[in-house]
Amino acid sequence: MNHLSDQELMRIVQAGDLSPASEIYDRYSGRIYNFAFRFLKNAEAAEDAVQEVFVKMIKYANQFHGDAKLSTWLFSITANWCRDYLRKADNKSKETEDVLISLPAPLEHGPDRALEQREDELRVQRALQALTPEQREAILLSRYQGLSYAEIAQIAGCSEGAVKTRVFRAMETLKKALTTETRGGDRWLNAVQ
Amino acid sequence: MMNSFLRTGGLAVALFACASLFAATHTERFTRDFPLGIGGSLWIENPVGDVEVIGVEGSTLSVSVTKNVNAPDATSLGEGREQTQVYMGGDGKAFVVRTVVGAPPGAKWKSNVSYSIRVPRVAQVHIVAAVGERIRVAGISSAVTVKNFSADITLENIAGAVTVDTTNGDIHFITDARPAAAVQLSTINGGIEVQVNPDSNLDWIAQSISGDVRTNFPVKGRFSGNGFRGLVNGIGGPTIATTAVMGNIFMLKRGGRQDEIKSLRAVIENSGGPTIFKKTAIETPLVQGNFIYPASADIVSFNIGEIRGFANIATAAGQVNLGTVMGDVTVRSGGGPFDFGAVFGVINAHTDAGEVNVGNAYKGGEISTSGGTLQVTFSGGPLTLQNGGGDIVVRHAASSVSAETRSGDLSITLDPNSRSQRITAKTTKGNVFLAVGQRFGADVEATVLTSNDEANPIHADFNGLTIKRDQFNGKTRIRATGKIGGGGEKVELYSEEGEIRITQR
Amino acid sequence: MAECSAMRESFPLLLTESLDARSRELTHQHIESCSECGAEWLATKETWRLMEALPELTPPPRMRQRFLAEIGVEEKPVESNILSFPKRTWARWLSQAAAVVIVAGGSYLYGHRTQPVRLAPQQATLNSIQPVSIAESRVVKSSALSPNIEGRPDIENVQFIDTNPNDDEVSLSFDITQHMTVTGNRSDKSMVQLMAYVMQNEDKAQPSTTRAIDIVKQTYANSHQPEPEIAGAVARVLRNDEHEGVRIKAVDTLKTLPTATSETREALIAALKNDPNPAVRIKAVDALAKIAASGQLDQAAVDTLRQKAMQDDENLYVRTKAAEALKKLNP
Repeated sequence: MNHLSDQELMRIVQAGDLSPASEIYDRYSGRIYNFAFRFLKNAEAAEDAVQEVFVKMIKYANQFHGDAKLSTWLFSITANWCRDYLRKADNKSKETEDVLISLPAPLEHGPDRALEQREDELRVQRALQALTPEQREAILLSRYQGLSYAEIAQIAGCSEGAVKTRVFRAMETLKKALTTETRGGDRWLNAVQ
Repeated sequence: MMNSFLRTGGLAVALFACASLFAATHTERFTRDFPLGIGGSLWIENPVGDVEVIGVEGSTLSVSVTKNVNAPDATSLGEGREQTQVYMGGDGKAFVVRTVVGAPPGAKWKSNVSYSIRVPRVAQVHIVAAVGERIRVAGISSAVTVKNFSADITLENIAGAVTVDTTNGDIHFITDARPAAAVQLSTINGGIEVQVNPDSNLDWIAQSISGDVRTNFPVKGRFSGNGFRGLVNGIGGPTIATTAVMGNIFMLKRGGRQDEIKSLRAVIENSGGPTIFKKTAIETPLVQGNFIYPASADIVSFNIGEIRGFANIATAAGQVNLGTVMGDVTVRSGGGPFDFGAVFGVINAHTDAGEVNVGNAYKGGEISTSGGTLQVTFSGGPLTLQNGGGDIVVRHAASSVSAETRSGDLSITLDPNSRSQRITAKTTKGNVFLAVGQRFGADVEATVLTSNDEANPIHADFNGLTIKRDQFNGKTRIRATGKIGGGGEKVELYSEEGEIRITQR
Repeated sequence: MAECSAMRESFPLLLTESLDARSRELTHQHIESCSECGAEWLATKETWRLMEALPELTPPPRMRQRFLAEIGVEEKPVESNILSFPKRTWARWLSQAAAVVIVAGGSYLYGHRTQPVRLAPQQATLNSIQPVSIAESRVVKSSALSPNIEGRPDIENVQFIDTNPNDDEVSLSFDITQHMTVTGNRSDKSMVQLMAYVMQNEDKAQPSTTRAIDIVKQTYANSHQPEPEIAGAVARVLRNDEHEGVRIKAVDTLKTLPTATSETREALIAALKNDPNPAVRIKAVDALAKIAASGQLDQAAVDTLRQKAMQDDENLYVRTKAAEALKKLNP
């Protein structure tokens, strides 16, 4: 089945045969998981997002039009899910938790380097959380998923001009956070009371 | 005994005081100072509470915060305090003050945070605030932007460019000086008041669909559409754009005379020019004679119980509800639904948008909508119905019917005793249902154009119809023709991509 | 200065190599000639590079199993086990005997509540609904049906019976491979699914969406029991149906349903923004206003209402309604 295009696989699903589901899952689950994780900074929520997105894909397969890109459609569902998640006040406290991703350090680097990497990782993750959800969505889709502004506009339900502004603003904020901040601290905003 | 009673009473009072202490507001106040350089900007985000920003000399930013939390018990008070956070930070160029409230749904506590800020007057000020009673910014020589949902916004003596955007709040822009930078003020449901130096020259744009525009300045300009554009005093000033979709707009001389304020609408009406819109509602149970509301560009809604004469109404937009009308009904509307109970005269009604519901149209008439459902319960005279998009339903037609919709179903039920009536029903996307009585006779021509070449979309409870299929413009055309009930008036039914059903009752 | 900020907005596009040759050239020229933008460009590039620090994560394998389990696909699917419903036109439906939309009793009771029922290759082993001749009619309790509908069967001649409007029992009859009547509680999962399906069932030969949506409105409007499934189905009809009369009905129905899911809100927002029919837009405003009154409105809806109230070329009545809706809002 791996020789079939996304569109061909979806046509099979639309005809009521779910056997291509695993193939589609294998193609996109990684990208969706990474997007949701970076967007929400919450591993559990990212897992739920992936589950919901693919179940929706099956459930609403008929809404997928062959002339669209499957990735755009899937990211639209994902972005919607993530926005909804953030909207729920219950989830707000979870957003702020710092999740250290534990990856085994590459062997050639010593523990210092590994620690440094973790710190970098955390700084980027934290800087991303300082963005508005719209900016974060735009920069994640552009920087990490390589989507065009036109595709992002479709996903975010806004104009390409708005995407351009969002990415630019996001980059401005990230620039401040990543290039001027000293390691290990978030000096930009401090709780005062 | 007495002492004991007093003691107990005293204890009860003390306990009550404790309980009400928790139920009361917890208030924290604090002030922080920060340096803010020339050309710096201040960003304030406050979803709950008032904001006051005043420009001062020097380079110190001073932020005074009042944080209030209301809760019925100690636990929720603690939670409210914890979940209502004030963040401040920045460098010498940009500084952010932000309230973050993490109220879970059903939280027992409520909080608000108000800010009183002194900022170097050369700094830019940007405020985003959702709900509060008041936002006031004064004495800033640089740009100011305010985005808000429902507070009243006052800007005093701002010399830089101003942009204010609110949904339900009023906006007051007041300055002793002659404005030199562009000002853009917009609100949906609030009003706008501008007071500037009497010698100001301004290029003024005022837009409102239902408010008035008033001024005590000499102005020269014209209305086009919903807006006025003109010069205040004379040329050479900045643009001041004021949009109050539903509210009034005032452009006033600072310290000018109240009695000089004139309505531009009135001035222009008197000179025979076009008018701007003003929303009113006309509600009355009874009109003894004829009811005439002459062609006007106003948004007016009508709710009239009974009209003893005829009704003649023209409105830019609004609902028209008429209970009983003894004479003819003529109504034109730029948008809004119609509901007529019983009309004894002929109806001639059109709306650019919205549903039309007619109870009894005793003499029939012509009714159309550019989009909406069109329903007539009973028609006793020839009826012509047109719909730009939506269904048409006639529940009991005792006379001829001609109905056409661009997209929607057509359903016509004829008087069960009718022997023959001319019927034309056409939909370019949808179904046609016609129900006739036992004694009904007609010459039928029913046509369906469909892209489904296997379709058999014409159904009739009658024998004697001949069905032909052919290709037409790349589609399949199915035509059923013939006489039913021995023949009679012509019944023409047409549907694209739908079905036609003729049933006998 | 204005030029600088426009150039800087293009930096991310330069990094993803999405600028056309001319703009790319112009941007590079500007970076070389303007020292401030040159510095900004370097900082932007550096930021872009630093963002690489985020690792690519691999989703845990259990997620794959969870997904496949939920949709009822096994790792090695035996395709012959799944009987799907081919799309038929009405002319051929008499000859379709084997496919059964909703399969019944036995398998359901054996605990397949959350999984679609798959027909075994030998249908004769199922003791409930057998393929039967078209002349036969059958009455089935909805509680004995699987709530999942396999494939996309065509169902026709849908009739709705509500013998006692005072209770929650309803019946739905339709032709599939036989004439079937399903009775049950309106909030029964299978009944809900069936209603939702009926509404979205596309049948060119006999368009039934209009009638189906009427049925759904009659059954679920102002019900005390929210059915997100139904609301979702109506929302999809509102989004997708080409038939304006149907969309007017759909938006009307959405307003009367007790549930406002994010899907319904989004469909209403989309309708208000884009529907060419003014009546749909008026009703979308009404429906959003009703949601607003219950405090369930989100920022996107508020923004759309604002935009509509401000929009010069929108129908005045729609603008007025949008403004009125905003006035009632209490965020």
